Amino acid sequence: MVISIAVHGAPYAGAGSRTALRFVESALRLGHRVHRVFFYHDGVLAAAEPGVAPQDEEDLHAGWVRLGETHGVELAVCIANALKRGMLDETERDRYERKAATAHPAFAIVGLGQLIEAMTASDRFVTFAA
Amino acid sequence: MATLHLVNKPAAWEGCHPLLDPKDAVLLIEDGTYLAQQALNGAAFHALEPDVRARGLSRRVHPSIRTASFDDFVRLVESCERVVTWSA
Repeated sequence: MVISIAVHGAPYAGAGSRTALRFVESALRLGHRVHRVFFYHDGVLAAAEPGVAPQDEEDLHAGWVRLGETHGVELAVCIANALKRGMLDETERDRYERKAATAHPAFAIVGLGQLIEAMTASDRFVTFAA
Repeated sequence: MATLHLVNKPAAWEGCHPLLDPKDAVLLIEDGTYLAQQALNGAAFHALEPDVRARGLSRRVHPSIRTASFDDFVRLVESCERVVTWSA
């Protein structure tokens, strides 16, 4: 089965990002294909490369990067939500002449159309609320 | 089964409850698992076990509510045609 999800909550506010990560790990283990994770609203902060997790807390950013890099899960970040929260890849850094790119390259900054495409291209779509 | 409803906080239950179909399933997750301490009606109820345990509710889950692992969560998504997420 093809599954896509949306993540609305920030990694360390509420449990939504962690619940979503565990869900995707289980779905992959059970043999499903996870087509796209769409980070929306505060969920885009999962892409923050400069973040450093405390030693006694799970590194959620690293967990998402691992899924993207080793399992080929597409990590899509809503551009409108990303830019206003300071989440920029190198293209957006250059476009807006900022000093640094803040989004890890495992995440793609995309338009809202990719949310709709994920819904139509997947058998199931699950939203993880903030 | 028709629809899987995700309830992640107690306040989200009010919106979900009136719209349940008897064939539906409800999965209580995160702070929504506090609702599992009472009998709920209108659908088949499940509570995400790691979230139940994290809140010290393991012995307080009502017998009418099943606990579910993350793998069970995925299986519920498989078996229902669609998933609705309630927020408050």
